[in-house]
Amino acid sequence: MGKVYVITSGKGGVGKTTTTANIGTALAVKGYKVVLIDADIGLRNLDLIMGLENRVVYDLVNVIEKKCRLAQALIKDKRQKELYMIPAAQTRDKDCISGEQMKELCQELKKEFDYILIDCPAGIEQGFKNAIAGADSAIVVTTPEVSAVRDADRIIGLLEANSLKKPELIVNRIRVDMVKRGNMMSVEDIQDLLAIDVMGIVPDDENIIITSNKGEPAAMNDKTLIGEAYRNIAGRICGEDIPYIKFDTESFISRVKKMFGGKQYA
Amino acid sequence: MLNIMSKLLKKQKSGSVAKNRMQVLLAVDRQKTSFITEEMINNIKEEIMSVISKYLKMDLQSFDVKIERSTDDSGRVLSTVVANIPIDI
Repeated sequence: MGKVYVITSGKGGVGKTTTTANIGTALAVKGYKVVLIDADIGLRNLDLIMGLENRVVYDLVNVIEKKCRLAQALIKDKRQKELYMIPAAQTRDKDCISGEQMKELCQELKKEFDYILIDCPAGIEQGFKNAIAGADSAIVVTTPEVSAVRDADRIIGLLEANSLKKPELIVNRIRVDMVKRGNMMSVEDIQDLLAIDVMGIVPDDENIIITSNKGEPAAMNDKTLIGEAYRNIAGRICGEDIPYIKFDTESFISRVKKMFGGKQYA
Repeated sequence: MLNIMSKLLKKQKSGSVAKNRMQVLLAVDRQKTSFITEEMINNIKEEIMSVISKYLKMDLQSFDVKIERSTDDSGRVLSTVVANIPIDI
């Protein structure tokens, strides 16, 4: 029996879709059978991040309205053998499906897949309710900005009220240099404020833009720090005990400085 | 010298400013969005009062009921009704 995770944030633009694509890819690299669902009906984007936009024929609404078979709407990833996605409908709106229908679909997918990741739309309306309806667990993505943290707190309250207890947090786009200078809230600050477990820390990295430009999730790349961050999150989802990369401490800073041979702050 | 002075007197860094603002804001937000209303708390308070005062004489001045939010060791959020009920013996 598979496990359904919803990736949510409240605020838009914090990296839900990128996070979904990368965790999904990292889980598939580990050998699990994974399906990603784009629940952002009307604003389809997961296909683009995955580089699968040219393969979309059927979508989530088609499956739910039984206009096609489930197998027909599953798009196979180009690179990972066991990775699939169901794209969102582009010309419909979020009210055309119900939470109950999403629940049924998740039940069906659980029989065949190890992990089902749902990319939740921004906001707290029907689209959010649909996306969380079939989920077993929730992952909340935030950035170290006041508006994102506030919305994350609201979302955590709503998840807990909808019996998704113990959601876990991913802090996205941390800038080590700014945290060091005291000009950005640290992961610890955010964890103190939101009072939930942190399951991942992802540094702000230009490689994210480069990889989405190409439609190749960063998690595939062994060399980038950001790829490592996503693979660590996937490992923790599978129950592995992986230490956190020390992004916002002295040791990481000195690691970077050593890389550039700089001693000016020593 | 002036430089050092101004550095020493420099205001709080924006990261701490953000955290302090958020601490206050989230407390207010949580209260507003919580299904537990002021009225509910007052009703609980009155009913506790009526039960206890059947048997004991209460110190009404310092009697207080509130909801506290905290986290346990695993980071799980716990909400607790905390009642402080002093009695006169």
